Amino acid sequence: MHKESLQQIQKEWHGSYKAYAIGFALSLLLTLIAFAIVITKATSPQLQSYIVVALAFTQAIVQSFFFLHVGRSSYPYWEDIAFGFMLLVLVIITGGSLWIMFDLNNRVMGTMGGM
Amino acid sequence: MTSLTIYHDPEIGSEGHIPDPHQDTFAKTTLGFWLYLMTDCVLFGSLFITYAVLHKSTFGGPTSAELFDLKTAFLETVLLLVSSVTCGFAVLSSLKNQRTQLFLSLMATFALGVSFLMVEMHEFHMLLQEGHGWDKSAFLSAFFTLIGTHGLHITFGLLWLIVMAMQIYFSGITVATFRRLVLFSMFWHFLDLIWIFIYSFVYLLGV
Repeated sequence: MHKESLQQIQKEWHGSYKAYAIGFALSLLLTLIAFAIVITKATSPQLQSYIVVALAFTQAIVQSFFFLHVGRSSYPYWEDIAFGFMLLVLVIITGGSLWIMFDLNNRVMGTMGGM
Repeated sequence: MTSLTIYHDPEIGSEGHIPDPHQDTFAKTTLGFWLYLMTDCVLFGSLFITYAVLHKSTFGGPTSAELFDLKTAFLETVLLLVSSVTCGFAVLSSLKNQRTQLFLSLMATFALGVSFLMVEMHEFHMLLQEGHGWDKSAFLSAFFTLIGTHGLHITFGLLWLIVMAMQIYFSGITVATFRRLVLFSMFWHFLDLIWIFIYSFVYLLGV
């Protein structure tokens, strides 16, 4: 039986010190910006929440790419396909739940208010 | 052959053998663990959305703005981010068989993870002492469930780290211990990623 050698496995590992340094610097920067914006109340609450959400997703993309090596699996790309499917499921669960719950909230509270 | 072949290998060996289905064990194990992480993502997604729906239902109790301390959340974020990087360094030093550096990185990861947990436990302790337990409102139930599930993942990650460090200490860097190290680093990076959303959506938007 053919056995995998350690060298062979390690050769396929994607990480590098440079990638971790870039990922760390970007993550820290994004965390700091979000913190500073909320602490100093520099913008209106509406704009502030948009910025914080945008920064969170940016940092999620940075960490997925530099730390979790998303988008770099080799043929036939099972990891990336699974990641894409997970995102689809998440969008359906989160988007669908928010839509249903807030719609329900509006309708129920609306009739109670009218009574 | 019913097993899943990860790497496409159309060539049948010279003696006419079917390719050995066990040859890509490493790739299969990491893929399997990756699939587990994806399901964990869906679990956390559900908890996040539960929190989003319930975070205004305070039942006359304190709101998130009255309870949360941003500096604590920021400290936790930095602790987890640095531990994520040191965990990556551990895998990188194992590639070059640098044992001292590997164990130093693992110890740093462990120390930072424990610090994170202690800060979180302190926060929970303060909330409970002031009478803001998970039984007080739907908001607090959702909060403790979301943060507690993440904290539980961190706790089990730390236990895993201790056992794995001992295995590496006694058997050196082999195919098996390297695989466990890689899986642990995936798990740890994933928990850091989840925390970014807790930091942003629960703490920053909750104040």
